[in-house]
Amino acid sequence: MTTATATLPARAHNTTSPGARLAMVEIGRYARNPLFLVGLILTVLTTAAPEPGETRNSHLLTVLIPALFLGIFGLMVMYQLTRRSDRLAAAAGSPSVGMRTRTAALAAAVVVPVTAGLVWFAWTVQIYLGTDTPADGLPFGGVGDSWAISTLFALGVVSCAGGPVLGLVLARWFPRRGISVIAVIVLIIATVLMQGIIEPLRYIRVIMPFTWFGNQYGVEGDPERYVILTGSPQWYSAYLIALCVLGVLVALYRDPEPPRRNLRIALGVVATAAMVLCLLAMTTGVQEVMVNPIPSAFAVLP
Amino acid sequence: MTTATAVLTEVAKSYGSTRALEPTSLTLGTGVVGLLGPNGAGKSTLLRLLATSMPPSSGTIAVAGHAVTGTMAERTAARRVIGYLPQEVGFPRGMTTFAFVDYIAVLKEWTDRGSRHREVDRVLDLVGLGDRRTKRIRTLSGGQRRRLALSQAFLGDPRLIVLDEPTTGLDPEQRASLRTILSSRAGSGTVVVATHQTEDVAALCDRVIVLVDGRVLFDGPVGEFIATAEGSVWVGPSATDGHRASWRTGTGSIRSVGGRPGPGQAPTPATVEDAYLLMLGDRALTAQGAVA
Repeated sequence: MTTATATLPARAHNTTSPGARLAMVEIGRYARNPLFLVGLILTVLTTAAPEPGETRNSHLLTVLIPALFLGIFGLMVMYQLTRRSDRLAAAAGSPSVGMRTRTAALAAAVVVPVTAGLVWFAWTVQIYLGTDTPADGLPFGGVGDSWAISTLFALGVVSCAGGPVLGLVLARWFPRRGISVIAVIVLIIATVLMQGIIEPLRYIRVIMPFTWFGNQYGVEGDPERYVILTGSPQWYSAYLIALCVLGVLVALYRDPEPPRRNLRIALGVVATAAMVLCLLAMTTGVQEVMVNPIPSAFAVLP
Repeated sequence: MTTATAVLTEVAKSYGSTRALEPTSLTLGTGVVGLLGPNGAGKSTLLRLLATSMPPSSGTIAVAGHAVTGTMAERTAARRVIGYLPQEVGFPRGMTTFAFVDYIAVLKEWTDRGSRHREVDRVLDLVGLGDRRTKRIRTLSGGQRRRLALSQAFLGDPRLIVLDEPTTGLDPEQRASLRTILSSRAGSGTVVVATHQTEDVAALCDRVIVLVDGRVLFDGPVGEFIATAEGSVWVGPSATDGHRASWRTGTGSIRSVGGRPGPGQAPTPATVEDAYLLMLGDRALTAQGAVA
């Protein structure tokens, strides 16, 4: 038996590796996907330019735009792309580029929504920094710009990667008709429950990949009063990034072909890191729920 | 001296408690090999093992000197010289024919865009779809889709081409065209064709393997296979006693495979189909009864 050569066949005579070439193909497919383009257009249309006299509050809440139109839509886009890639690979039987490389190439396509998310982030941060913080708004007390910008990054940018990565994991492990739609519904319901609305869940809410750190939660007599919840959005950003990496590793692990030892080790390391980061996000930063002492315009004054 | 393209040594495959392929040893050199057998005989399993689509339960497989059952690097090296057409292909119907083959070419490591596109054009022309390159797959007929699926197996002129029922859905002209393509590959590589079309085996193959219940019942030249049925095929006014199969031909006479000839029955040259029916034995009778 001869020893296998690692060289590519003569036909592959340029310097691009097959995995890198496939990644470029997947990036192109993602960027041309109609659902992504619809999400992108909706993001642009709803990310409005600042109006005269506008305050910072509304900009902090616009994280929902990329999270929904690029993240949630991205879950479905990536699911579609992965299933299509699987069908094409099955049509060829066992092509020399295997499932693991295909998964990695699909994961690389996450660069498309993340780039769009970063553009949104840059735009929103410069508007945020260029407008005033109202006394009755967010942030207040000892919480400053770092808190606000981290919140924008975690919820606005990392969610653009998180949605597609979840789509990739679903396509790899649960390839069933309609699963991406079911996942979206379940994700939205779970996310709503973990926004800090329910008092006992406020502390542990940061385990969810999308949760508020401050909002108009209100107090008695003032339903629109701004409240800052516990936790550190800085560590939360790192936790979400670790979750995305973990998702990619879980998707890569679906390929049953050996060797998988290094992948198992990486899974263990990243899962541990994610747990540690989650604990840090939970236990550091703001320690007690803070209520803005300035009443909102909706306060029922005695 | 010819070099073996693929060597299977005591290869077996089980799905749970079901044995799909009994321990089988085969050496495949250059030429076209026909794989015959009833449904569920293990043909597709054997082809999928050869194409490295799944690992064997036991035994070893080597393709072009690379151990498929060895390391990932060996398996990848083997895959570079294999072209495979599965029995069923799920098409992304919104894709164009060109995009379909182009994506698979990327999966087969055609990284250079220019040479890849030329190769995709070549294989589409080869299967007669050159003028359909911009058409969406959903607009293609069943035969055209089959040819499209076939085209990707020819990417890069692989040394081992493994085809699972390639002629399904093709009209006679397309089948003849496919025979031309495959026979042109016979001199330089190995083509393994699983089929129910015995006339394809007769027209195309140098060697035939008959697989029944996961076991190789016959493995040899087509001529030898046909010879197993010589003297057992009869034509006359009625069917022979104890025939394996019989049917009325277009001339009105009855052709009988096997059995004892009676008055008025004359021997006639056997075909691959006759030999196959005789080899299948009682299974042929069962099949005929089922049809009737």
